[in-house]
Amino acid sequence: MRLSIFNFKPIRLVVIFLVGMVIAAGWLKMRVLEQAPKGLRPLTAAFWMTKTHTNKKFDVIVIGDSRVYRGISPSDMEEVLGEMAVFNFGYSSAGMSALLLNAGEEKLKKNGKKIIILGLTPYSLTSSAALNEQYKELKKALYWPYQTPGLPILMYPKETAWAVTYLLGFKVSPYHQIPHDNGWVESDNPSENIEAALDEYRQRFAKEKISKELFNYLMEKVQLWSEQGYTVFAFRPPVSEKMEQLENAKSGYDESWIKNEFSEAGGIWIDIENRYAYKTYDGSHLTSASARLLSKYIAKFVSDKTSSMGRDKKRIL
Amino acid sequence: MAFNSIEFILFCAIFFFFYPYLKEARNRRYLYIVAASCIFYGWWDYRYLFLLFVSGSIDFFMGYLIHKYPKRKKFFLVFSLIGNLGILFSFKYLLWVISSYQQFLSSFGMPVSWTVNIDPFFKVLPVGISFYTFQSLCYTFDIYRGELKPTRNPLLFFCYLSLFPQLVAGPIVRASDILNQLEKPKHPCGEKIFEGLRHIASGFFKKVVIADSLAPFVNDAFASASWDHGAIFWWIAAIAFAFQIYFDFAGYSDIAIGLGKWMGLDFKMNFNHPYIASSFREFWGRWHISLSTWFRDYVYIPLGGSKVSTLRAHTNLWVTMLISGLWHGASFHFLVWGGLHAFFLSMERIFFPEHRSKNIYFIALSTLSTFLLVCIASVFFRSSSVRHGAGIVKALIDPRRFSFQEIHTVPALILFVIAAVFVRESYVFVQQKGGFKPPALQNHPVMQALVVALMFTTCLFYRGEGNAFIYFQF
Repeated sequence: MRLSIFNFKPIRLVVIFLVGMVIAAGWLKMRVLEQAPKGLRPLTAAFWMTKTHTNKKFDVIVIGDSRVYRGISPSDMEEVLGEMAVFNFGYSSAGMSALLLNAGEEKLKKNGKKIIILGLTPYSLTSSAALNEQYKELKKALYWPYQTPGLPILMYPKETAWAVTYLLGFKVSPYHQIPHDNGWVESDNPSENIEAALDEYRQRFAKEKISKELFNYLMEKVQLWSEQGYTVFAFRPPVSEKMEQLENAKSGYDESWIKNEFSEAGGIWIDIENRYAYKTYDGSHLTSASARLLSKYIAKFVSDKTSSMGRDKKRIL
Repeated sequence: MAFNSIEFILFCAIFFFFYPYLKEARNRRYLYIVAASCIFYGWWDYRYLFLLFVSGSIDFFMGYLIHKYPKRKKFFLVFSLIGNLGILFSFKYLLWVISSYQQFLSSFGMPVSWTVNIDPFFKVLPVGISFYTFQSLCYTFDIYRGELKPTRNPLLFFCYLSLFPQLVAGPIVRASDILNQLEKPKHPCGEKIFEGLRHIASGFFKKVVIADSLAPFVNDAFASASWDHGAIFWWIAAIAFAFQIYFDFAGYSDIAIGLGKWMGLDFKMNFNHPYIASSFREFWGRWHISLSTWFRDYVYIPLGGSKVSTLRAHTNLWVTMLISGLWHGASFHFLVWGGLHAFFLSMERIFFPEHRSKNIYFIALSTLSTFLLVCIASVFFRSSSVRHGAGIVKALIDPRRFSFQEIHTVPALILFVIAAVFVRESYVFVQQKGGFKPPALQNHPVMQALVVALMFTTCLFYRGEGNAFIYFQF
């Protein structure tokens, strides 16, 4: 299109109006997002994009699905682990496929402690989860617009939908969630209903069970990691008692068998004591207070185990 | 390449930058358009580009032969039909026919697995195959009927067939409308460019703001394993889908029309507010106009149309609508959708042969009932199977399952978008049917520029979560 088209008045007007409206809408959106109560704001694209594309490296990486990204607080783990840098690498409906595991591995420091912690939920071992749709989408999205001043406001229309809903006075998501730079989403839900997620999981596991192929792949990977000097831990993120019963009955998840296989592959299984004492707000995800408790518990276990392993190594030497 | 992608915006920027420089050199211009269209199509999967050329070559040569040897024109027409429909059948219907036959055999205890042996290449539905096959066929039909002279320039012909703005999802343009325009395109002036921009803005707004906002709710509702929801929920879901598909497809057509204007071409209107139709006959004159006129001119009228016995006329109507259903997809639920429309059209023809009332309230009532029946039929369009659709329709009309409490299970923004569309379409209704004259301000250039800018701003900030255009799958 040649520049002469701008001689036509309505086109000139469109350009002028467009620039004005984009600036005004951007400013308004920012104001609404800033002024809304912190916990009520939606999870921003910037949070997910930074989590996915950050070049920072860590000593400990926790990989898993939403039960991990809502249930593990790296800063609480760091309090226990001392000097180690911890990162939460959890994604929605994530599965233990090569894509996610390799990406998690890349986030570890080359000369760091090399600790990988896997949150093995039944769903994370299904073929659907292995597609890792959310991670794939984020990985292929361009990161530069998020780093360019002014552009991120255009990048995530979900935030606009949220802002419009909020501005019009409609009910926004009941989630109270605060994203942290270390990958954790501190979550609560005032309208707590610990049976809320049961139906969804019942439907999920009516369609599919855990995938043997995916599990075998995971075990091979754990073995490889162990041989390469990584310390690999795994745990089953705590859920409500009803949810655990449902998942045991419908998903094909046999915890003691998984624990054995995992240990044989060279991993260290973390048994969560008093697992039903952790409080969930929907039967599936931990409240922020419980997430902090769980994170400290896991960190303590990892700390004890790694120091005893260190003592054993010294003794052998 | 989808219109709602960054790649397409870059593609357009490059295409339209060089396009004006090729105004005088015809063959170079044709070649430029064909090459650009190949890139546009090949971006999806270049392996299927050859189908466009095979289909087009058949019609290019058959068109020429029909004109040269009029005594054998029937033979050449049949050859073109077999060639084009054969390709369409192989890539669109073969898998469905075989798997349906497989299911039929296995229900008699004879399990077979022939579909496993079909090459994966044939299992993919080439984007836009139904559109370009029909577009290619109408070239031969028009020559056969003596309404068009064949072109001797293959570049011009393939330029017509592969025009990227309307290649994958229409509107289906007739060679008689577009060949002359391609030979002598008007140089788009500022006014035309602005008109194109208006169409493009409106198209993007319809697609990314309205259709894509409704998409997640519709997808979740229809993906649900059960249909436990009550009538209110399903009515909202059916209406949301009716709006989604309309705005998705009308959005694509608007963008195509706008891009056409930038190229100096005028494509005909493809949608004219179909949901304000007060009868099914009127609905089909407003919905996907290029396809419904294609079926009217090349299927319904050749079968005898309505100028035959009553029974025969109804049969022609049913045959046309069932083929239209199958054109949309190789599945029984599309057949049911076509069948339902045929049924409604037949009933209308029997009980309301003339639509004479000028009473606005009567027209409004007819419009509402037509719309609700269209929504019921569209449930089958969106469902995954006939059984799935029937279950939802049962829920829609079951008076025991009416509970307004369910409205709370629908996201507020979905209700807001639906209400906004209702308001907008009601405004068009009173304009077109109630004789209401819009304020002059509406057509003022400043107001129009403001609306265009507002639509683009909304697209930038408030894109829904839908993705591909629905009609790509046809």
